[in-house]
Amino acid sequence: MSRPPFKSSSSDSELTVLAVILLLLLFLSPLIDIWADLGAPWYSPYIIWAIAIFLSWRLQRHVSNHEI
Amino acid sequence: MRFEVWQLFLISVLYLGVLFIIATAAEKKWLPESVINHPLVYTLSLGVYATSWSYYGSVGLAEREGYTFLAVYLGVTIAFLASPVLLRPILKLIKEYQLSSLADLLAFRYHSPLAGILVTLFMLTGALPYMALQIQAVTDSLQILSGDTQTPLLSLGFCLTMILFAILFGARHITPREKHEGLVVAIAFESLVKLVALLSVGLYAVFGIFNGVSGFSSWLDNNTEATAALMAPIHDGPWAMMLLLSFSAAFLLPRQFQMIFVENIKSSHLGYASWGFPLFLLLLNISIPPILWAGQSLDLSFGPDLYVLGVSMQSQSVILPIFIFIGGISAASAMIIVTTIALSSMCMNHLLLPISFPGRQHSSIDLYSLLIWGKRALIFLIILAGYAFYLYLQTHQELTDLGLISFVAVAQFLPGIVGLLYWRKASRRGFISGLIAGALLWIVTLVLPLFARVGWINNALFEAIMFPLSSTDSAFWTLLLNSTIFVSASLLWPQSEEERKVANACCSDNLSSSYAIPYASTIQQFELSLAETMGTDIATKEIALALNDLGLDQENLDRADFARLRVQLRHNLSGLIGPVLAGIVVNDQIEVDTSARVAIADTIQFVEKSLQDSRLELKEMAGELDSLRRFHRQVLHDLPHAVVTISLERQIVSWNRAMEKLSGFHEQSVLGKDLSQLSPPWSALLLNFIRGENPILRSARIKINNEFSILNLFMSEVSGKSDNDHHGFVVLLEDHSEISKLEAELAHSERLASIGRLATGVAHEIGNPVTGIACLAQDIQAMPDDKALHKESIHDILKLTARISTIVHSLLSYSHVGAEPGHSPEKVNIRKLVSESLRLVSLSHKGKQIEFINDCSKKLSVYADNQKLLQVLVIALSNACDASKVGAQIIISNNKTEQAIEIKVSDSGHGIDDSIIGKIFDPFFTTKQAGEGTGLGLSLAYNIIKEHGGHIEVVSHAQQGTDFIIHLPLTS
Repeated sequence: MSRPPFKSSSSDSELTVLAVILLLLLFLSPLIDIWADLGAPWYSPYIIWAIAIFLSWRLQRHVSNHEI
Repeated sequence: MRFEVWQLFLISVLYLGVLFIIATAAEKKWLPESVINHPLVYTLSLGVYATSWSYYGSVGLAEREGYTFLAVYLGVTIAFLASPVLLRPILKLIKEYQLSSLADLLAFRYHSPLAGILVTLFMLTGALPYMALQIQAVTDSLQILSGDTQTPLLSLGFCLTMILFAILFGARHITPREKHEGLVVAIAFESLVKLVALLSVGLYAVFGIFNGVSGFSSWLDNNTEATAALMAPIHDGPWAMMLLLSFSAAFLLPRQFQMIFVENIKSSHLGYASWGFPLFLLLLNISIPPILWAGQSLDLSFGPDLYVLGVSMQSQSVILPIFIFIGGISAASAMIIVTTIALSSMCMNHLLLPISFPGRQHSSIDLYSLLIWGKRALIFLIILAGYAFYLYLQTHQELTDLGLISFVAVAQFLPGIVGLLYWRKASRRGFISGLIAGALLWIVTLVLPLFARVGWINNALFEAIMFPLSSTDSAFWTLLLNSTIFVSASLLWPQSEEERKVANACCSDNLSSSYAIPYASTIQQFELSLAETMGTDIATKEIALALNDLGLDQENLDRADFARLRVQLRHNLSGLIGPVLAGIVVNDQIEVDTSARVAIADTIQFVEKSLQDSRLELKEMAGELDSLRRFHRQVLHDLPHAVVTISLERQIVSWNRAMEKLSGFHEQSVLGKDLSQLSPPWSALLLNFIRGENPILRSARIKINNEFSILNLFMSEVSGKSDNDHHGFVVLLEDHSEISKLEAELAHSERLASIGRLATGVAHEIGNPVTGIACLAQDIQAMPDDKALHKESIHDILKLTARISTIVHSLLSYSHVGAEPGHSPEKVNIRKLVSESLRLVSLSHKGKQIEFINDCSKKLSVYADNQKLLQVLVIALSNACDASKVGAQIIISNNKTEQAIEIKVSDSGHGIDDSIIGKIFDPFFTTKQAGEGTGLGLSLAYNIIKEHGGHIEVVSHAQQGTDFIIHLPLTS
């Protein structure tokens, strides 16, 4: 019998948690001190923010978004 | 540049009027559905998060804390990124249980009306500084643009306008369960206005103040400390706590909760918003640094909180400042309207209704009127409270400070949310005690110091207990205390059984299965029960609504439907009066019969119907099991044979497609019914069959649609986990009508064929007497006067004609179709039947050469179909003749045992070889040449005897003759 065609929620959760950890690393770890000290242009936080938004967009394409 | 107050006021009212028109256009569907339901509209509506704090205060925060101001929005980004594990599960609960606020959600989870009350009160208290912030921002902007210092009047005018529009936007519908599509579209429009306004000022700052990108860059090069001032606070500032505060505010602030969850129409929009909303916030905030630096370069006289307005006023245009002012109105009004709507719903469900809900003696009170006018009154009071808070602040407060006080307040619900989604053991006592502790510390560290700063309290006692902290430090300590007490109390005082059930329902994808059989078993009883609390009209309306939601016909309800109706009523009332009150009303008024044995038929029906109704996607093991359930159900349903499953309580559990075709009853019309409720002949047939001891019933003749059908029934018990445990019966019905008809036709054909084989003998047997009659007639003709000869000849002629009649009668009788299927057997004398069969067989050439001895007792009879048994004997005797030599004897005898009658045909012919004896009853098997036999005789004989409940035994060896023994039961 072939596997029923539904998506596992555990993979959605795993991906999401991974993405959140990545974002927390980006925004909470000593990494943030490093990029703050780099003498980067004034808009650099917005670039990093845009990367985070891009990550969110990619994540949404992979997770289940069916109607509740 | 200055404007008159009345001009600004008029612009504000006109703008709000435009919003109202947009909202009305959406509600009346003047706008296309594709626009109203577009995910972009939903995403933009979440922009209500950006209030005056974001619009004006971000610049001030950036000036003081650098890029820490971005943390207010980055926390939101993290929360929305986590929407599959954070926001979506909450949305599922909101939709599943018809919840309309955070207070509803937490009261539901922790199974506690007190939790709902505390959340409502705390939320109300925490929202007041935020509302005051909006009023202050609008008043300040009015003051700057007009130069008017009559602030109480300006702010009062603004508040009264807000009351009116909040009622128009959010208190026209009776119930919170109806969505405010118009409000969503209007707020989305406001977000767009804010965004365009801020981007406009940002562009003006770069191109207007700094004369272009190159000018802007060169200013930055000459003022490197500007960028450094933004970056530096990241190291030392309260970055992490701000992230946490904005993370919790993203979905726990009343306005956010309302727009994300309560006003959500399509859950798929949440996926779109998970990246769309942070993108909106990024675009909203990208102008902040340029505006800040433009304001600093201009050395504006007012604080950085109002640089947005101040920079725009440097333009020579009237339009830009007005546009910015409108953006500010957007930011403030959206927050006030949505927050007030959300808070009024909470106050209604958890404060006002529980106090004022009509008792049994006040059934004439219209609940709907109470709901709508109560909501309007609450909107009025809440905005007035916000105004009073602003009014008595007296001294100007930083917008951010006021906003953060509210952020810290809503952060106190985070531990409760963790318990809701991830920790089943979180208990009511843990949540309430943690919340109270956190709230008290919040008051002591933030609220009392605020009151002291503005001069409200000047009391040594208060000054002794208050402990001023920064917002972020207060956030840390309040959350720490709250979480510690929450966990400790949950572990120390375990949950009740009810709490455990709700906790499980919230933490997993399980369906709520509150299946219980209500005492009320008619719609009238339901209405009477509910009317005691809600009034007759409302009870009738709510029951009709619930029936409509379930797609049920009130004339045709079974026990499972009543159980579902009770559940649906509770869901719907939850949307009307909150889950706590709805639970109380339904549990008290529609009681369940806890002693009722839950029949498996009811359980299966309830579960299947609930699974069908639910749009919940079952995951992992539950999903696998559901897929298997559907597969097996479909297998049963699609079987080519009719199958009925019956519970031990004689209720129909399943009725497959073939059974629908056979009976003419649709599955839905019989499921759950008792067997005795079926129309005849089905009730008697099935009841008698399952009560009987025999698991097989053959050739049951029943009348279906005025035609007789022959059915074979087979039964099996459905066993449970152990051998002694049974759940019911499976009955398979085989429609044998066609086959019986074919068998009858085949038997008839075989009889005709055997008559054909007798043709030569028949011709001879008839020809001889005819010749004899002719001779006698000639003799009479030749001797007309010989009367003695005449008399003798007539006697001989009559004898010969009688002989012919007998032969013809036997042939005719044998060639008849026979009795109709299911015809009652008759008493057949075996000796007479054997004589009849011998008469027929003797017509053949071979039959004449054999000596037949009818050794049957005259007294033995059997109940059988005379015609068919005659055919069996003819077949047996014909075979015996074919096997015997000329002049041999064939003896037919009978015998009676305790349970059967035996008829034995014994010959001394060539016998049957051992290698073929097992095949002699196979259809079309013959050892004769082509044309000498069809090979169907013994097969037919076998089936005929089997139909009579008997069997045929053949004892034979090669060259030793054959005994063909027919066993028939004494009672066929």
